[in-house]
Amino acid sequence: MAVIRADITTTQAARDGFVAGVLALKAEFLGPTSADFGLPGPSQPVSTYDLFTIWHQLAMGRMTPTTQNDRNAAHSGPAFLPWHRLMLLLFELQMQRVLADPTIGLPYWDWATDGALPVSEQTGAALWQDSGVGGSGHPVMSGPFRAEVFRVKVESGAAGQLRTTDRGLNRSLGQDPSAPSLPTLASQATALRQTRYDASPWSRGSSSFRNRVEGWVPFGMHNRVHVWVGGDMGPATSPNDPVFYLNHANVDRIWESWMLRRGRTYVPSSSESADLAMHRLSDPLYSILIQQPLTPADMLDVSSFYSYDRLPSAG
Amino acid sequence: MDRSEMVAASQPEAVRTALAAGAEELGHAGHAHGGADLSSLREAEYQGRHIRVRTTYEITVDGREFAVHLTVDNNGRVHYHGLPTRDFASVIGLVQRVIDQFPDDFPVEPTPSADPGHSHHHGGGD
Repeated sequence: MAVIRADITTTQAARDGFVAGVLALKAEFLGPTSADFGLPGPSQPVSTYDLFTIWHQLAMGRMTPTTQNDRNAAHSGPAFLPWHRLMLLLFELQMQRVLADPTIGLPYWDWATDGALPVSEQTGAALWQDSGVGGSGHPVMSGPFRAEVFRVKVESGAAGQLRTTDRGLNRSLGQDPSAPSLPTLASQATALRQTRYDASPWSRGSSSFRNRVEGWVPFGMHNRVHVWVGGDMGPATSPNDPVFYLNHANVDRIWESWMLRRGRTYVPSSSESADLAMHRLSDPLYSILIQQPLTPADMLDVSSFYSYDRLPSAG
Repeated sequence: MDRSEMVAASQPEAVRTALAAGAEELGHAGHAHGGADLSSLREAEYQGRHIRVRTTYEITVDGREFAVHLTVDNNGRVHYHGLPTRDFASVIGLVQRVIDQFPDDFPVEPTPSADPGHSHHHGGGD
C-alpha cells in the first residue's frame, strides 16, 4: 500500500508518527558496533537510526571518480536526487517496520512556505515548537529530540573522520550569517522552471534543475536549509538531526513536481563516460544497507511506495 | 522495484547481511576523507591557451597543522568536505566556521592564571 507523505506542520498524525519512528529506530540495535566501523574508542552498539547517518557520511567520502574532489556518490552530481530518494525510502520502510505500521509515511517540511514569513518569525515557526521538533540549542533542550531523550552517538571530526560521542543534538536556527533566512517560494519556482535535469560538467558547476535544488548555483534551497538549521545539520553526519529527513523529503517533493511537468527523465544516460559511475541512469546507487543494486532508473517512479499530499508549483 | 522485495530487504536479517557483505570497507569508516595529496587543481582554456592553477594551503591553528583537503573551483570558491553543503569566499572564514563547528578539535591551550585569589608563594613572606 502506498503511503501519503504529508506536511509535518499541518498534519499532526504525520508529525507524531515521524517522532515515534525516529525514537524507535534510535532505540533499536541490530548488532553492529562502532568497532565494526573502525571507530576509535570503546566499542558501543550502533542503532538502526545511526546506520543511516554512517551511510550518508560514507557516501560523502566516496569521490566519483577518485581523481576529482567535487562529485561524490550522493552529492554535487546527478545522483543527488535519486540517492537521497533511496535513502529516505529505506528509512521510511524501517519506520514502518519498527512501528509495525505500514501506513506511516515520512513527512516533509515545506521550508519555502516558512521562507515567506518575515525573517524574524522564521525561527519561531510551528516546526520549531515543542509540538514540532523543538528549537535551537547546544544541546537542544526542547521538543521530542531534547538531550535527555535523544543522543547523538556518531559524529564527524574536523578532518572528516567518523567517531563516537554521547551528547545532545545541536541546532542554531538562522544564526549563520551566510543563511539568515530560508529559501523563498520564488527560488523554488525558478528551480521548477529549469528544463534540464542535469548537465555537463555534472558537478557543483552545472546549470540544471538538480544543481538549483541542491543549492550550489546559486547558493540556496537544500544547501541553504542545512546551513540555516546549523549545528548537526552542518557536517557530513547531518542525518543526526531528524530535520535532515524533513528537508530531504521536501527536496524529493520538489523533484516529483519537476518530473510531473517534464517527464520521468534522467541524465546522464548509461552510455556516458565511466567517470560518471554511480551517477548514470543504470548505475547502482551506493548503499551499505541493501544488497539489491538499485539505480537512478529505479527511483524515477516510486508511486507504489508513496505520493505527496500536495506538490509545489512553478507559479 | 518491487515493494515486497524492498520490505523484505528492510528486515533486520537482510540489513545484517548487507552490512556483512561490505564489512571490509565499513571497517575503515573511522578514517578521514581524502588521500595524501591536499592540493587543488583548476584548469581552463582561454584564447587557445591552457591554464592550470594548482593550489595548496598550509593552515595552522594555534601553531598546530590543520591538514585537510580544500577544493578551489574556477570561480575561486573554496569547498571543504567537513562542511559539505556550503562553500567559502575566504579560507580564513572557512577555518573560523570549522572552529565553530568542531570546537573540541581545536582546544584552547590553558594560559597562566592571573586569578588574584590564587596565591603563589615564591619564597619569603611568611
